[in-house]
Amino acid sequence: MLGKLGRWLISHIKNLLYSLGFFFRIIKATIVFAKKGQVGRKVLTMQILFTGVQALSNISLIAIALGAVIIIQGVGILPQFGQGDLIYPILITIITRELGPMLCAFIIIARSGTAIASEIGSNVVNHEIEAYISVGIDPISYLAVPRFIGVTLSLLLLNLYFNFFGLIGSYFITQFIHPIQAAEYFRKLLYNLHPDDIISSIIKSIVFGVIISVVSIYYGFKVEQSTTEIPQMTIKAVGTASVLCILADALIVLIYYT
Amino acid sequence: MYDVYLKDITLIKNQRKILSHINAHFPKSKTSVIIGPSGCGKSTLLKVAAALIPVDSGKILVNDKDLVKMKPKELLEFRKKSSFVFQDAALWANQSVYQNMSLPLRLHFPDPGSKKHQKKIIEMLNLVGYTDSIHLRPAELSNGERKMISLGRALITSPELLYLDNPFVLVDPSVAKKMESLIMDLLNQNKTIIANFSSSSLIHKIADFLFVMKDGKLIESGTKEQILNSKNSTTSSIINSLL
Repeated sequence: MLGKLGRWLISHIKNLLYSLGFFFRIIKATIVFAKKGQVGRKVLTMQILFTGVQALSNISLIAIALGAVIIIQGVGILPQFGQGDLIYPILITIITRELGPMLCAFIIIARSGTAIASEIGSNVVNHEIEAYISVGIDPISYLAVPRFIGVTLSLLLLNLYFNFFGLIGSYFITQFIHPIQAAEYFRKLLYNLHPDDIISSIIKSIVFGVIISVVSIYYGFKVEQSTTEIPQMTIKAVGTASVLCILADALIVLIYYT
Repeated sequence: MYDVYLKDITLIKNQRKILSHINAHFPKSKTSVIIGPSGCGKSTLLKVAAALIPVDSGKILVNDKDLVKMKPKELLEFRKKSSFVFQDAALWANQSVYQNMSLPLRLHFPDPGSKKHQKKIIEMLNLVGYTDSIHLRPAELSNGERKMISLGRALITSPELLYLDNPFVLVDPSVAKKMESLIMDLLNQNKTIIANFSSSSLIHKIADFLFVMKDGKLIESGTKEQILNSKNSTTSSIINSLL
């Protein structure tokens, strides 16, 4: 029993150290990529296009709908308690601080995290990684780094879009159901929006971007020989990235507000 | 020109010895062919000799330099002058035929205008007998076409050292014949070739040295004549199974 526990612990510590080593290798390769990554620039562009641009319509729709729901619910309930103006801090807390980065992260996990893990996994199975090495291309620099930069950058930008559509776009939708004066809405919104809210939102989206990209790449490379491993590793990537994002969110909130 | 030494190579995977204490010397400007029954570790040994997969112990020496410990610049130079043809083509699935050929060129011979690259790629595609669109993806090609493109990709940087991992597997006779004639041409160019073939006619035609493997171990090695006339019973049975 004790032996089993010891072996379990040792294997988990080994895995953790390996994952950390993998993470630092990506960071190191990212620095080199910034200086001379000509060959991988196209991969980076494609990643930003897929993660940042093609997800824009989903993000916009979700943000507008969510913002509209909060405004409609808030405007309907809060004035009954004489707290009508609370709608603005609530809107900012939910959209800017919490759900913006978190929902964007979940959408990116579902779209790009799965795509990255399964694509790299199939690269491994089809010996494409070995082919990259054989011509002198480091798979970390060529496959991992552009995805790492692309996903992190895209998540940051998507979060900004989310905030834009959530806070501004939803106002216009609400006008059809529950009109609010534009000047009053935007004045109170800006009054309640503090730099801390924006900084916290940016930090979160960067941290989530790093987590999603590194975890997806890591599990992609964990595939060894068989195509049946690809969906298994993709599921693991989704699960691990989701849990780590939620834990990181809790940690950032804890650090930020205590 | 490169010569490759493998010193006491051992590779263990899932607690199973895939390669066990292999010592081999693949001389420069010669063709060395690894032979043995299916699953004995020929492809793995070839990939180890090209440092495509890490080993548990042992050294891979290329012109007396440890391949694993080479500085990035030296390693890149080695990759520029060596190429690997994979058993299953291993073309990059998300890139077109043209991009598959151009990536090694762009890496090793940066040319912003890319006119020279374009010319070289077209020449190479003609050489390997590929006549279809250069914008097709590997999934849209036949197996034979993929194999020929893979050979073209390996030859496009004019390597001095060529690793051939049974490229004739699952190709029709016409493609095999074309590949064979291309490989025969390479022999006249003084290249070092390390190969894994199961075709006895090709072994007879191109091998200078033979390396006999069984169950992850190197049973015997020597010149083609020495091995073909070997008294070792394991070697004889492997040779007989090939003929």
